[in-house]
Amino acid sequence: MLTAVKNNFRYFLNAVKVNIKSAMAYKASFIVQAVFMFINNLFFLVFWKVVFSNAGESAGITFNNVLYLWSFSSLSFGLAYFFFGGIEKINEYIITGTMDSFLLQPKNVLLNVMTSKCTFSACGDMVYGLVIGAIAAGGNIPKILLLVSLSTFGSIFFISSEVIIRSLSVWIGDTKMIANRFVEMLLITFSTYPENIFRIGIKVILYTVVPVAYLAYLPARLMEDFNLSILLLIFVVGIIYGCTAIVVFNKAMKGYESGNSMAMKN
Amino acid sequence: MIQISVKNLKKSFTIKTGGIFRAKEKKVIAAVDNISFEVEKGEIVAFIGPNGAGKSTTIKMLTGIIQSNGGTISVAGLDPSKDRKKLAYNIGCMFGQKSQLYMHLTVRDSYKLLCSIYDLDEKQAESRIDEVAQMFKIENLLDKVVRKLSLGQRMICEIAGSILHKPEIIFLDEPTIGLDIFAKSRIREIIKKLNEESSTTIFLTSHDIGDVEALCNRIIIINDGKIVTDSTIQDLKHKYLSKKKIKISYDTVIKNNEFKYKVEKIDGNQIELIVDTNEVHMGELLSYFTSVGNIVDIQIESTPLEDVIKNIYKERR
Repeated sequence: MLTAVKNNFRYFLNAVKVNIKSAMAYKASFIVQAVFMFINNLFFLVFWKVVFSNAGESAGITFNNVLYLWSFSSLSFGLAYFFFGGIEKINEYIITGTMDSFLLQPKNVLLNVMTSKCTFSACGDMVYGLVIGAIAAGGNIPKILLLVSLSTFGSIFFISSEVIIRSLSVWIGDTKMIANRFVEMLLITFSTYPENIFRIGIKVILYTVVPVAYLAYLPARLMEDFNLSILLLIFVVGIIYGCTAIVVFNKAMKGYESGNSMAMKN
Repeated sequence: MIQISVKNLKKSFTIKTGGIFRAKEKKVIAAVDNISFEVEKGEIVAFIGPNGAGKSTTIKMLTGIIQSNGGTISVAGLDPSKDRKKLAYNIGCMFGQKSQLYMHLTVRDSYKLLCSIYDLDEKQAESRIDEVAQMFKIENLLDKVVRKLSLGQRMICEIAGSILHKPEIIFLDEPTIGLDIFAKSRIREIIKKLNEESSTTIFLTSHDIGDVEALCNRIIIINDGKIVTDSTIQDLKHKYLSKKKIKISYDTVIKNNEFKYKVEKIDGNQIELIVDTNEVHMGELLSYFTSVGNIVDIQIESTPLEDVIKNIYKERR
């Protein structure tokens, strides 16, 4: 068991190394993508700064709270897509039959698939999330460490959502659009607006089907007022989401029918 | 020792047709229909058939990629549907249409990642990569980026990559697809060497009958999901290649009615006939031909294996 974990971890490190090497084959593109993503995110904060300067802070919505929300959203997103960018390819691997090469290897198929690609622009999101998180935490090291730990755990919600939706391709055809919309329009958009602006109906959704609360709202609350039961709640929900993703993916692999298209890894 | 055992294997796919929102009709297509065969250790078996015959589907079930709908499979003593990971350590696979190498990396880096997949540590990986590179004579390709390799070089590197973990059985699906004659012959040499040096069992599919003739001692022909022939190449040749086309040139004009055997074509002093050597002995034929007149030239041709297989496909359709 321990050897298997060690071997999988060593494989994960090698896969990351390989992905970074692949990215470095096009260094300029990699740097431009990361820098532009950083700048792109920065514009949203400038917008919020202007809103707060004109309307002031009210109803428990503070600029610092917005900074934390952006930090959690960006850092979790960046970690998920930089290290496990293959999650965005699951539907493609299923539809084109390229899942074959992963199924032929003696590794956990999901880990193998997830580490098969790295999204270069996510590097910009990671750096951005870390920088604004550190600013919001006022440079307080224990707080920054908590922020990084919560974001790392929070990446489970991005990963699980992608894995669940894209695995459905086995039964309902290509789910790329659904997955993209779910992540961009629901997870990212809702996680960057303060919880208090939403009515109860929407909040129910954000605490259940769309796990934004555990990804951004509750972690941001913990940064300002630490509470062990909230931490445990995030942990338990994260585990449930993660396990659901694993179950759905494994079921999808049982129904996978392969294909014969010409394909090459990249 | 039996390394691959397949009994009453079945696989069907459901195809939905018609209707925009709801399928009007569901059709069940049997891709593999109740096939059984066994492969001994060290055999090189050709598993051939026309497109859509069920070759790739069978290989995918044997390697654990897809699940069967019935029957049993044992590969290296393991059930691919239950022991996929364990089985992966024992088999090597190379699909001509799919690459396991990384386009933007060097061959060496791709191999290093493959080695880590098979739990080889850095030292073991380096020495195994060197060993395989020497064996395949690809030392000069190791530091080339995969996307810059020619198709032939890439195929050789793919096969080398599939044996890094020293598998007992190798599945090769169209290993020479799209290659020129030199690259094909190099790949065949390599496959032969692998089989001879380490008794590796090779299970091969190919549309190139040249691969089958050059490499295999046994041939299994599948068509419409059913095995139509399972025999050694020698038996197949004996059974189907007994018909010979004979062209004889005499120094004088020969008349058709002077000939004891059925003549296909006669042109002055040249005669063409097809005989079945299972029915008439070749020695008997030759002495008859010489008794008819003075032979200037004689050509004896066998039906090409490719034509034989084409006929088997047609016969059983």
